[in-house]
Amino acid sequence: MTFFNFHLTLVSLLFIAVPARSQPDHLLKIATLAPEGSSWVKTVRSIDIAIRDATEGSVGFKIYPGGVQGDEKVVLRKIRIGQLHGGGFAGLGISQIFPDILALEMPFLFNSYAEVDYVLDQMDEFYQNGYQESGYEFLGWADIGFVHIFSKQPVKSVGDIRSLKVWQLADEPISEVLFRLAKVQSVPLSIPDVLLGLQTSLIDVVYASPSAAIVLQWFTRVKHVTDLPINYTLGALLIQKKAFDKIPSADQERLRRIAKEHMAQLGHQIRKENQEAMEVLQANGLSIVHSGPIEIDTFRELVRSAQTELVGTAFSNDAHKQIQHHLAQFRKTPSPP
Amino acid sequence: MGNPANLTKIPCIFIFQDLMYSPTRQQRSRLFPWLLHVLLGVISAGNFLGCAAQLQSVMMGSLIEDVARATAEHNDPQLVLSGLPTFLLLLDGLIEATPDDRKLLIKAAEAYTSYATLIEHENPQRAGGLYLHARDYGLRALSQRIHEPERLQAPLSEFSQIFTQVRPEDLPAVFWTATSWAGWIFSNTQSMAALAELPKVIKMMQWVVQQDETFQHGSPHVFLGVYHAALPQMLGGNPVKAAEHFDRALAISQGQMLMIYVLKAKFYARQIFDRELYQSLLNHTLTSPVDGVAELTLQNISAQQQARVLLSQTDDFF
Repeated sequence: MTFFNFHLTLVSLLFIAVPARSQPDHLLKIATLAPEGSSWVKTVRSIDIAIRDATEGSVGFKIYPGGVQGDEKVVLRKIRIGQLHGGGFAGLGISQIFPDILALEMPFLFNSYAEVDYVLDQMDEFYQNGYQESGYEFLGWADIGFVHIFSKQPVKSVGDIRSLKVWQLADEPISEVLFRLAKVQSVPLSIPDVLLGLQTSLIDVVYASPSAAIVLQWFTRVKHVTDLPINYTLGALLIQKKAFDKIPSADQERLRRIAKEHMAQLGHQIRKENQEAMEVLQANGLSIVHSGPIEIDTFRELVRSAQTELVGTAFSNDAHKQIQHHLAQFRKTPSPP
Repeated sequence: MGNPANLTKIPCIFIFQDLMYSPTRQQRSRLFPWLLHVLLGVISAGNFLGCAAQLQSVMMGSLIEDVARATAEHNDPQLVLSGLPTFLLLLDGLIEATPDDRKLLIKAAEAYTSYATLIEHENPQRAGGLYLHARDYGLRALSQRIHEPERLQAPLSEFSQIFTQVRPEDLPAVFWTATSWAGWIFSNTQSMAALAELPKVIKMMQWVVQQDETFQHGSPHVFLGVYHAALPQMLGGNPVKAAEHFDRALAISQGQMLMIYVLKAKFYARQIFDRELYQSLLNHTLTSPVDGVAELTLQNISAQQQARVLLSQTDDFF
């Protein structure tokens, strides 16, 4: 379930002053759906400032926030024809470049952020190479968070969902298979239509990270949130390799280092926001639904059957195997006292 | 006497403080004691005469109106910026004396919101605190009009019931509460608790539009225009609705409120990525008279200052 979540400044009233700057030798045009003022855009801006500083103005970004260059599909097309050079991707765009990111987003793969961090660290080279072979330089992950179920009636098990109308993010491969196998009545809608869908009871169940549920205002139309985290989701900052390769190698290194550092900070920020969001949801009247072990098993069973269909088609067997291997390693290691 | 909501005629979303020069220390030191002297003099005169706090408030109410009008018609934003804090302290003092004076509470909400907007760019954190102060005054004013005031703090569905209780005359209270509340939310976008309150603010502004869309030259429409334009469509933004709101506000204000052009350029034209529209809206702002409506003078001067900066940044956005 690839899902995105940008931390929005819905109406950024702050006047964002862009100081007059000279044109860098290497101007990288970066687009993202995240609006001005969001953590995403703030992070990309901070990378821009740092890299200009580190390269004496030779490398810099021009940032197009708020989807002004179109959705991720359009951005990818513009990158191909050289109008843009990169993007802060968080939606389906990123899996279209290199589908193996979906292997990280399988439901019930990770039990904690500690596992996430360990596996991402171990898999760093794999994804760097994967994106490079697909024509992109990978400049860092952006945490989106664990996705939860939000519903009008409490959802504890797969059985509870069957009687409800479930939103499905159109064209998203994992949920497509899951819902089909679960015989769930799913309704494909684009993100902007979800709120209205909830309002008109076209759908009863949606899924999102807690902060996305707040930012997109979905929380105002549901009553329950299931505490069981379904899957972990993430995005990435990618630059077209062709543009990146034109940068002198010392500056490439600088950009890699600066971006990695700032994207890691963004990850921490977003985790904090998601944690807070869960508390805010309760304060806003949502009840937390707890699934017991037997109910959780109904979900796990479903995912097991979906896995055979997804591994090797939606993403590579190789990615899946490596992730499983690292997870097993991590789980074998006793946690520090 | 002017409309009680006309304190400065500078709703928060319309003033962009970075365009103002900070007053020099010298200027501040000259202006501040003078104003303080005059204002405190009025209060002590009230005390001397043995008037009740209520009477004081009535007298001050008149002064506040006069200052408000003069401020709105002023053509020197810098001077206004340095003078407003005295005014705010005065309002705080008056509210302490008459804590339930609803008109005063609304005026204070308005004045604090306006000032917060002025200083937001230089000090967003401080502005956030001032917006909160303004919102709390607004909520205090509103809570007098609602059977169960705790509803104002309740989740959206319960909160929405306040609209069965507020009346058309509560419009300024609702407008200034919503505006300051939004200001606070936007200075706290990293806070999930703050963002979760946005749906309430939007509901309030929609109510204002239904009651009187012409309030403050169509400002409620401008607010909703910015709201719909600020988000990408993918995340629920709606450029069509945004354009409708902006154009309605332009019709209501008969094109005299230049800040509408600026905000349409800044939010709408940028969101739909229309460079030509962006430039033409800003150029129109710069070639229009600022004093077509006297009470919009100060705001229009700010609009032109902002338009100049935004025009110079065209290449950064397109």
